[in-house]
Amino acid sequence: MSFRYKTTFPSDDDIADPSDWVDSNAELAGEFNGGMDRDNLPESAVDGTHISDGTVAEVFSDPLFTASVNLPTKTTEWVDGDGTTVIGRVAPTIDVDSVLDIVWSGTWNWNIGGGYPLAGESELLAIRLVVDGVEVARSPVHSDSRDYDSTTLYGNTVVGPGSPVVTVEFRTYRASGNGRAERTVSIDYGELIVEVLKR
Amino acid sequence: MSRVTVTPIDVGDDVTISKPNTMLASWDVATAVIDGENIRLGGIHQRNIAADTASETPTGTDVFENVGPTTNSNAAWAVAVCGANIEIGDLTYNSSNEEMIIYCSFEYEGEASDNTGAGDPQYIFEFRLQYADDGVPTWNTIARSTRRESNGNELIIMHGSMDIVARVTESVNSSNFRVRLQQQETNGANVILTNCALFPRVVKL
Repeated sequence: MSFRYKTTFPSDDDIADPSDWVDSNAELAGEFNGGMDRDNLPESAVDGTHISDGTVAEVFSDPLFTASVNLPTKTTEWVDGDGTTVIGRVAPTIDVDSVLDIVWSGTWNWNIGGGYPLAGESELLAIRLVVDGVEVARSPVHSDSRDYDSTTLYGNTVVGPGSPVVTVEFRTYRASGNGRAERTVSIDYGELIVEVLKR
Repeated sequence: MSRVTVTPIDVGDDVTISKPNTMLASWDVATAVIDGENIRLGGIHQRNIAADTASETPTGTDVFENVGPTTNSNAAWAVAVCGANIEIGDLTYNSSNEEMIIYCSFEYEGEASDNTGAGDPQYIFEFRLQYADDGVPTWNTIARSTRRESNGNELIIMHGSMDIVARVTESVNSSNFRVRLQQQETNGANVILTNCALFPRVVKL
């Protein structure tokens, strides 16, 4: 709370008592040594130069920089890559309750080549954002009617102190195959971005 | 940490100025080095914090918004146009104590170069972000990861929307920071861009 100076006013002819001086200073020092707060600071007194880096927010990202990643075919489970390369994974260390603002945008390619599938075949791709195994966003299924296509997913969640693991996961579906072997879809470009907004 | 040490004065002590002066000296030193340790935990209120301390609201040339539509036809990478070049800046950006996330969204319609039917090659529409920080500007591709693609051909009506969200990871300290969208098409196709937006989100660390 805001400090109020202990107003002891000795009067003429009082016996000089050092506690009148010392006690008020001790109380003031007690506030000054770690007890100052909002009432001691005027409006808008604090700006970015007064706040340590990472106090309000931190940003983490995992871009798919160098090469395409082929998703495994005949997938029945959600996967985060090809078994070797993880397409997007962020595990920030967080010291206070926070909100995670998560976004992944990227491009994939069904490797059809001609630009459209043959009659009677259809394959689908779904993408989701996961925090510690809990899904926070899922795309609609995207068909291979476009050889190349892109999407963006947004998700957010509240987390406590710790190291939550944020991943982007993929799952392929075959709606109809018409006797043809399952296609390999590759994730060509993309970036997972996690903004940690601290309480 | 800035701490004041109270020098006790007891009844019966010699009447000298040395102990009060010792305490005043402690105040003198401490008040010159006030820091976060002097503030109680959770003691700062929103009203104490100046506007734009935690994040920055982009205004003016920091934001691109245009309905378009504009037909783009580029066999090689060129700035995308939607009523005007899709470009923002000059921004002031210092990556040592700020983070910038770029948001770019637009609606697109792909046009094949002819309508001769099935068997024609596919048309790939590609987009990516670039930045410049030297005032010239000399453009650099932000990262391979900002590239986005879609495609079509005569059998597919190419119409959709696209978002590119990218974190600026380059080390930058400039008052001439610019970002723009580039695009190209294969096989002589066109792409019409409509309802385009490009803006930064600047987070103060």
